[in-house]
Amino acid sequence: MSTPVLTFWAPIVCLVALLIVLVVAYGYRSRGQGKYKENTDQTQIFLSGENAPDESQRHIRSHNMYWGFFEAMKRYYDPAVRAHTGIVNDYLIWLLALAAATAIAIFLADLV
Amino acid sequence: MGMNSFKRALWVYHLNTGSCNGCDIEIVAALTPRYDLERFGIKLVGSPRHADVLLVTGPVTRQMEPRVRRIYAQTPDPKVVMVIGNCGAEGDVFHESYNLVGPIDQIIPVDVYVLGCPPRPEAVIDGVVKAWLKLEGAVKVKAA
Repeated sequence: MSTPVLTFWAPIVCLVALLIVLVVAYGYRSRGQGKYKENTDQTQIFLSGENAPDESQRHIRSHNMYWGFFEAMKRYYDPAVRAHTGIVNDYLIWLLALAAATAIAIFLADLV
Repeated sequence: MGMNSFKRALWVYHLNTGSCNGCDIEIVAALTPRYDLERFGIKLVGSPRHADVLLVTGPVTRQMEPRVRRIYAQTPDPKVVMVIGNCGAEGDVFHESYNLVGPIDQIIPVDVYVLGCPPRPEAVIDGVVKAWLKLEGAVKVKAA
C-alpha cells in the first residue's frame, strides 16, 4: 500500500509563486518613505542617541558576546588560560604528564 | 475630534531628556486599557527611524543635548515634536539649574506643548490628536 503524496514538485508553479512574491515585495517597498536626507544623521545607525562609531569600530567580536559565559566560568577558564602559554615545550610536558598519569591509572585499575 | 484625520497609524518615539518619570508614567497610562491609545493605531516604537512623532519629556540636561539633536535629526520627515510636561516647556522647578540647557524649544523646534506636572492622559491624547492634525496638514502641504 503506497503512502499518499502530500506534496508535489512543479518548477513552473514555484517560479510563478516567486514572481508573485517579488511583485508584492516590490509594491510594499515602493510604498515606503523614500525622502530621507542623504549624508545626514537620517542615514546613520540609531544607538539611543549616541554617536555611531566608525565602521571599523562597530565589529562585535564573539568574545564580547560570550562575556557572561566567560564570567560565570571564570574559575575554570582563568587556570586554563594561564596553562596555555603558547610554548610547545609546555604542551609536551602536559602531554607526557597526562600520559604517565593515565598509564598509572590503567596499571592500578589492572591490579584491582 | 475629527476621526477623518485618522488615516494611518501614528508611531511615536518617546525621548526622556532628564524627566522625573512623572510624565513618562502618564504617557504609559495613556496606553493602558482605560485610555487605550493603540485602538487609534498610535503606538510607541523603539527607534526614531520609525517614528512620525517625537514625544519629549524632561528639561534637557547638559549631557542629553547632543543626543536630543541627533535623535531629532534621525527622525524622518515629516515629523512632529511634542513636549509633554512643564519641565520640557519651561523648566518648571528646575529652571534655574546649572545643569540644564533646555527648555526643549531652545534645542529643537517644537510643534505641540502639553502642559502639566504631570499632564493627565486625556491631555496627552489631546496633544497627540493636535500633532496628528498638524502632521496631516504637513503631508498635504508637501504633497501639493
